[in-house]
Amino acid sequence: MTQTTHILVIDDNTDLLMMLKAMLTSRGYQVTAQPDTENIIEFTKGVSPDIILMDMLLSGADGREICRDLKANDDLKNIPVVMLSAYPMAQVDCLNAGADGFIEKPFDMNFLLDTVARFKPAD
Amino acid sequence: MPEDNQNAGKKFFSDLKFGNFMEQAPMGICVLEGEQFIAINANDAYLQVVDRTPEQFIGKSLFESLPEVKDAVEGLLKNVIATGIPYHGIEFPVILKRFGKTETTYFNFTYQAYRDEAGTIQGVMVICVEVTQSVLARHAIAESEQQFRSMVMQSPIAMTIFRGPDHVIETANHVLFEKIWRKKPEDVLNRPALEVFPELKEQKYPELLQKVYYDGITHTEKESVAYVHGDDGMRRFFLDFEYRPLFEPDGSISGIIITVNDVTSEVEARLQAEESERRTNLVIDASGLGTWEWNLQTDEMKFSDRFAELFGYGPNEKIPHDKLVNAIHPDDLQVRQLAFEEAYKTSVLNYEARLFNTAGEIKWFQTKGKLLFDEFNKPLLMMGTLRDITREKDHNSELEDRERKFRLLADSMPQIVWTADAEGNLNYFNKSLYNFTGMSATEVMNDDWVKFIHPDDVNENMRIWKESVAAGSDYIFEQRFLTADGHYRWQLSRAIPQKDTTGNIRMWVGTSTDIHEIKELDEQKDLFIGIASHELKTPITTIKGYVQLLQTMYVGKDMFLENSLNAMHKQVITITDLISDLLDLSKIRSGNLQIQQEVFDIKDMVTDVLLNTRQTNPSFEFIADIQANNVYVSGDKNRLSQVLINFLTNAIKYSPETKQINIRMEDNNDTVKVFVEDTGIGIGKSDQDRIFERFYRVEGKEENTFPGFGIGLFIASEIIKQHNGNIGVTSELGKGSTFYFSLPKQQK
Repeated sequence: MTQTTHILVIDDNTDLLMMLKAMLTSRGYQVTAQPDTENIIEFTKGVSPDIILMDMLLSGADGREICRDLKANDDLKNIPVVMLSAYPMAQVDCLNAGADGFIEKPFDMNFLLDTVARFKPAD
Repeated sequence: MPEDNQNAGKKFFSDLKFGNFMEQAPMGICVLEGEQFIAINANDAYLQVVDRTPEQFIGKSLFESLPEVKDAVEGLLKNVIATGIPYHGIEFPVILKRFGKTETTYFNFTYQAYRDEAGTIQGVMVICVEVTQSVLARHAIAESEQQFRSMVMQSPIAMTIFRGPDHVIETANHVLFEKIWRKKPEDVLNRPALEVFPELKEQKYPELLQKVYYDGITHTEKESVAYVHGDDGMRRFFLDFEYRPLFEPDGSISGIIITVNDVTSEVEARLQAEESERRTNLVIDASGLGTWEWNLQTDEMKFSDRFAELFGYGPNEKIPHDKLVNAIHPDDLQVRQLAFEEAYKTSVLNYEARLFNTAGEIKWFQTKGKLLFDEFNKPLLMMGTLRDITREKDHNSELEDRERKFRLLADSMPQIVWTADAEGNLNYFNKSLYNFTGMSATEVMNDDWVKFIHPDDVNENMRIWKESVAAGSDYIFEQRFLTADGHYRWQLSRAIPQKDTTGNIRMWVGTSTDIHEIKELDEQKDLFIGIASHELKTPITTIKGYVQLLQTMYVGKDMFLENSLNAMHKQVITITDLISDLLDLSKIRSGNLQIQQEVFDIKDMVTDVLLNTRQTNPSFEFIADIQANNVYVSGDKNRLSQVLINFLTNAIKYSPETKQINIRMEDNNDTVKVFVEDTGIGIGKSDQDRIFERFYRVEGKEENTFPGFGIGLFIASEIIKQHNGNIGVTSELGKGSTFYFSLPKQQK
């Protein structure tokens, strides 16, 4: 039995956050849902997730900045980051900020799950 | 005369019982006796006539003393002696040698036989009167008359003589026959004139002839009109003629000598000249031009009636020159003065001025003239025309009035109004512009007008303006103008070419309307739509996520839940599409519809889209005919997919019954064309043209069946436009529609 994949989901919209958690949990992922971005780097270090799923626009923070910070951190830079945005044009920005995947909102459940599955660590 | 002979003669006359009477008779008498015609007596008168002395004559044979008469009279005398019948000679010519010469003489005479008492003829008594003088005189008259006739006949002036109270044509010359009467002499001569020319009865000539014939006073007339009917018909003549009475020696009038000079051609030429002058005058009169002529050396002024009329004078009125000058408006005397100075240099006079006519009204006139110089280069004469231009001046001032009104109107508008010439050079702005920009007219007109246009808009403005001017098409452009207090405000500038009747552009009239607030509101609206759409996406995402999650949990477990969740999911997708459309629309409006450029195989795109559509619409049959391989286009794959999805979505929407949709691809030379063909309700002809417009939806009951904003095709059309492609539809109501787009092909 392989180890459960741990996903850190960061979104300030708690309803969306809970929906994402439910969706991913239903597929057997371990989910840490985080609506707050304060000390997110330290928080992430503590959680040590396999995948980070993060909205681009967060209250009081820019997901792209966080992404850059994560990628600049030697401890965290190898964790795949998948970003969500309602702006399809933001995809380029997100990838430039170091994101590994991009999902446009609203998304199809299968698309989200397929995308996330791509970043599951190899056994 | 010897005494003896005298005595013998006296004795003879005594014997003859005539006595002294014979001796004293004024006629010549002589007595010739016997066969030898011995002159036995002759009176002095006789001897004087024959210029012979009694010695040379008496007692001698007649032919001995007057041998020259023998041939003429011997026969006559012998006949009288032989027969006793007397002979009377009248104006009998006899050649006589007398007074030292031989001359022809004429005699009236009687040869009378005389007898003795027994009745035997003894000799011949000659009684004669010499009439040589009168015969010769008569001959001379006849001769001069002959010469006169010949002169008349040869004269280049037509002449004729009418005789008697009936004016019988006695003679006429060639000129008269040929040029005026145009008749043959045999039809004319010796006939009464009025019988030959009955047409004269209707004219004044018979009366004149009678007057001359009876009064004896010569009548002459110039350029008299006469109608004469010749062999070639009636003709009109202008004749100078003279009727001169012909007097007989006794003072009585026997006829009229008529001379006629045909002046028809001269008169007609003159009349023609007069006519053409009259016509010229008519034209001048009709044109309303007054004419004038000013002799600069005598100061004498001549002018037409129309000229006088302009000054308020009647025709033929004498008006001194200074009076005319005084009528000119004092303010315009300077103009006149300058015009005359110019005329002395160029010999052309031309000026406009006002005058006071006699009624005290002000009249504008224009005078044009020419100055003529004499051989010493001294001004001689000035002549010209005068035209009343009061109405034109009034008209001009009316135009000025209108111009003022137009400017007032333009100035009172809040809009900026401007005009440009045909070449596009700006030449007028209304007050609004100066108020708006705070610039002066001189600044603006010094081509500094570009200064008030936003630097980012100047080049594009110039480009579009030049394009419009070159093409003669309407100009429309949104740009920012700098206000007096240093802010830029959006203006919508439009200009329309003003064309003349031949279609050439005469000028441009433009306006710039402040649309700053509208523009801001519009931008805010687009921004709002954008933001609102994005804000909508997050809650939709949550709903959609939960619906899909719940669907996975309840499929096949709870029919009601499953159906409800399916309906919710469908509606969520609809909302998502609507939001997406709204976003695209706002992007198109703001010009932010971004097109990614990549070269891809269009077959791949069509296949991908079709695969997805088939999955989500399992109840529909999609028949694909996409044979062409390796057909590449350049552009935004997602956007082009969106167009195809739109076509397919519409086809699905509008074909609820048939559930069959064909997809075709056509590989042409330079383009590739993609068709989506349904067998649905179809679109009417009038709707087909407008279906790609924004918010256009086909009217009708079906409208309620298929909700939507009606902007999908507009977006599709914008996307295709940005790819330099074409979009279109063919359709027939009740049979279905075929939507297509074509794109330029690209080399991989």
